[in-house]
Amino acid sequence: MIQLQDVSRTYASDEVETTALGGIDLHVEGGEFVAIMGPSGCGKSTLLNILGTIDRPSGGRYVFEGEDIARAPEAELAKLRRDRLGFVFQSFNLIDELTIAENVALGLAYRSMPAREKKDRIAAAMDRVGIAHRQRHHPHQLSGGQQQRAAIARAIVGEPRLILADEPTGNLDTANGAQVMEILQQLNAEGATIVMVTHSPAHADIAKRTVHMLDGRILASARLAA
Amino acid sequence: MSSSASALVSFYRALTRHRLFALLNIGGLALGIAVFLLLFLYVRFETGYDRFLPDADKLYIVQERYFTPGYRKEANPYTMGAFLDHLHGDYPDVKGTRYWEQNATIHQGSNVTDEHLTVVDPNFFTLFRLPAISGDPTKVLGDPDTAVVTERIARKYFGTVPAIGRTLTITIDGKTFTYRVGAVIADLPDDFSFSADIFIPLVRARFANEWFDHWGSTSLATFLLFPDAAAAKAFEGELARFAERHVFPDGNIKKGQWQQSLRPLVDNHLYDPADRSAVTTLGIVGLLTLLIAIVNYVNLATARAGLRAREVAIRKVLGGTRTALLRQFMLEATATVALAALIGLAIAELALPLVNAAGGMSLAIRYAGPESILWPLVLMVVVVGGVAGIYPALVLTRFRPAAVLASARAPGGGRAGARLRAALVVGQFAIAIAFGISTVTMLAQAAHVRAADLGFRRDGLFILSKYAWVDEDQQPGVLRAYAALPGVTAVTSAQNAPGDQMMTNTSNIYRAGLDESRGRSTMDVVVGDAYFPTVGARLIAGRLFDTAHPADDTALRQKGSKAPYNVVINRTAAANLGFASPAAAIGQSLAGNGTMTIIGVVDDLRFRGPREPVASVEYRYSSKPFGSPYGMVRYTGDPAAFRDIAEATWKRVAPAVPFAGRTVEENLYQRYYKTDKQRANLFTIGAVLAVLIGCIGLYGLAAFDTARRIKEIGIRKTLGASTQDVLRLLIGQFMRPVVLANIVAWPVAFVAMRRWLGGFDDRIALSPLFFVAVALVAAAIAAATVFAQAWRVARAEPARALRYE
Repeated sequence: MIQLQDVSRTYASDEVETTALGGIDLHVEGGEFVAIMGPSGCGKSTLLNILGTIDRPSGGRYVFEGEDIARAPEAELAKLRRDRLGFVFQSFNLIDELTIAENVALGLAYRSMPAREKKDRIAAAMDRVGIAHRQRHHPHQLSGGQQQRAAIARAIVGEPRLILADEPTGNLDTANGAQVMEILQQLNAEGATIVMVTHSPAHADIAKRTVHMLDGRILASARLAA
Repeated sequence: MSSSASALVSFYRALTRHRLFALLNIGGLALGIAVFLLLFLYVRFETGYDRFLPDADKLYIVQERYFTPGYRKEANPYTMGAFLDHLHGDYPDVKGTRYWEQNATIHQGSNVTDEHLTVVDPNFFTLFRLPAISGDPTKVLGDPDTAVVTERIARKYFGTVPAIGRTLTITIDGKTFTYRVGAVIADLPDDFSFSADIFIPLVRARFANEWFDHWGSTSLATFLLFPDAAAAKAFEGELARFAERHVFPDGNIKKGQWQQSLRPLVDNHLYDPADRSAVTTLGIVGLLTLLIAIVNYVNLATARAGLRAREVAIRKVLGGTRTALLRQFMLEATATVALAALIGLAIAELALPLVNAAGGMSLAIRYAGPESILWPLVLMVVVVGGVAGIYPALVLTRFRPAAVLASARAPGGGRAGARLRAALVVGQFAIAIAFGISTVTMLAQAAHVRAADLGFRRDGLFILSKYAWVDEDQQPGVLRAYAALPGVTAVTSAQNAPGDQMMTNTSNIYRAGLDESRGRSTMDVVVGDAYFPTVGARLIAGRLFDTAHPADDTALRQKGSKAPYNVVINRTAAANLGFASPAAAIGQSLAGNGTMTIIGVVDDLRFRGPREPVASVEYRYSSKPFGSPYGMVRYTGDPAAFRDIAEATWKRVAPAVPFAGRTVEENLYQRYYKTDKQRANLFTIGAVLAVLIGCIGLYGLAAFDTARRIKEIGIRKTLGASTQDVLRLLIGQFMRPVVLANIVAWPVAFVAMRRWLGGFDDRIALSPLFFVAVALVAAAIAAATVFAQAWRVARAEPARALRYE
């Protein structure tokens, strides 16, 4: 599904050029559940952002479902994100001014489909993560766990083929974290491909494969015995 | 560091750290203040006329109003020449004086020049206490051969030599006198209703004419002095009783058709409602422009309140009370306004020559004396600082320190704050749109006035303004000289010309056989040879005057003859007299000014301004010279070149009279179009700047709002929103206030502009196109203002936006 070849990402400021990623090769098959681990600042999030096309590689090839999109026009990437990707963030990134239902609806806001179908899918996604009863509330009125479940509902309402989760449990207590991992596991079981950045070895264990990173490079890729 | 010093430091930091906001805030305010200051000066000038006189509020002008059908209803500030003499018969203690402008030429050897000369009662300068330079103007006019002149005249005719005792040779109405200068007064200020430069005493034997004791004639201005308004009011009753005793028994004017009243001198300049409302409107423009600038300040300050929440919290934690903080923020607002006021003053100074040129004014910004700008400016800084500062200060000081410090995010102004900002933006845009519609309407009306069909050909027609000053027996020779010029196709003389009329005779004219009470007030105009062909009038029924018909020529009539004479009337007269059609009027008889037979009807000639309705007119022809004529010449070719030829010809054939003449276009512009045009110019300048200031505010708000929403936009893009989706979202958000603003502005502009156009008799229709066009332009301007900001964020990589905190 995903093929990264010699992907690099550098940030240039006035004085220095920082290398966030250098020569990454990564292959993710459809249906995989990959965890990315590594110390802070090793490039995990940058890698995830590039996978999610919300950041562009400075060099290398990024093949998504057979298509090299490293230098694809912005409009095409927006379409890709809209139709095939779902995002879950550590800080939830819900929009404060909108209700939970409206936040979830954003996941379909840029697609054209009958209003009825949109409504059904939004309701189903909220049911799925157990957040339907708080749909009229605003994000700040919810607990962290509820907010993250709402964010997951927003990520899956469009039925993406690839879910990118950036430390989805990082801001949650153990119980809420476990709940979120359970949902991700179920989604994977139903066929979604998941790439997740995490600091928690326990949560990494739930993934089928763990990629270890250090200083912008992949150290090792360990596949768990099935 | 003291608390006020640290407050100043944080103010300075807030300014320098957020340069864009400081620039928008102070720049917008400064521009608003500049517009306000200039229009304030204008309104103060226009409303301050005559107030420099020590007794300005005690002086009243006797005005007269006629109540006859078809006659203009406005009171005119003139009386019969001898009115004051008659009044003194019954009321010897009433203090009054008269002012009577005359056509005068000054002779110096073979050189003739014309000056503004007025005949006044010898006591004139005791009532109008104009500052004297030398001599005592209150005493010298007792001598019938003494004149009081302004410094300008003294300098012009006598140079540096003292003027007192020197003589001037003056021709008035064909008679020449020698006057000795008895006193010199300072030049009259621009804000004086009267503009004479030479004052000579009113001597009845020298100046009284056939109309001097004719009730109903309006020759000169009569002023009365009363200790207070109550005394003046009481005396209006005496005027009515005086009319009962002396005026109506005279038989010339009937009771109920005429009334005298008193007009305060200080109200004279803006007595016409059109003038008053124009000045009021421009004052409102100034205030609203300032208001828009204040709204900008409030919007930007509250929008940015969150950015300073932490400072507020820390100050509170360190023991700052809410009062102290309120004081700090109010001080900041006042300091900002003061800074903006200084810049605004500089802008006003720089713009003043341009504004003076556009408005035809000579306003000046003064820093000393009673008209000093400094006190109004200080007052404005305090008021505007207070108005602009209070709300942001209340918002800022309301933050609870614990909540602010515990939260990772900076609080915004809150939901209410956002709603208020939206409402203020709607208000700003509503004002801007209403200004826009008004500007377009005024410019369209101005363009119409310059191009409209006036019933005659306005191009290629030249007016000889001082034709009446030429001796009657020489007048035909003057016209013949012009007729002989190459390129001249026709010449004529008449008692009226486009933009000019010295003598207005109106009589109650009615159809013969009908009752007098069915008549209409009709203007009687005597015209010379070839009048209608020369001006280019259109005949719509019957025929024009023809020398082949003796009854056409009133010059051939025996004095006292009762025989009917022929007249041409205009379309309005035909309608007012009740004829079914212009053709139906031909051959009909009229009465009221002798017996007349209608031989022709011409289309209305709009010789006066677009505001006045065209009067009923009855034209009669005279082959011999007649009173108060103008010469008119139809020419071909370049107007400027013809003007030179016209002047050279005049100097050759009428050297005793100074030359004065201009094209009809110039004359109409100077007499009627100029004031409206200049006011429209001022309005346009104010309106454009108001819109610009509104845009500055919108830009700042868009910049702030977009910055605040960068993260949200990142999320939306992550969810698949394209650049266009984001642009649509951000720009659309600012379109909503524009649409709402239109809903508010349209009815207001509609009512205001309908009233304004109502002041014109010759006017354009208030087209819906003006409204739609302005709405589209407003939307486009708003979109363009927001676009730069929206484009930047819409294009940014979402990952960067999500890192933004």
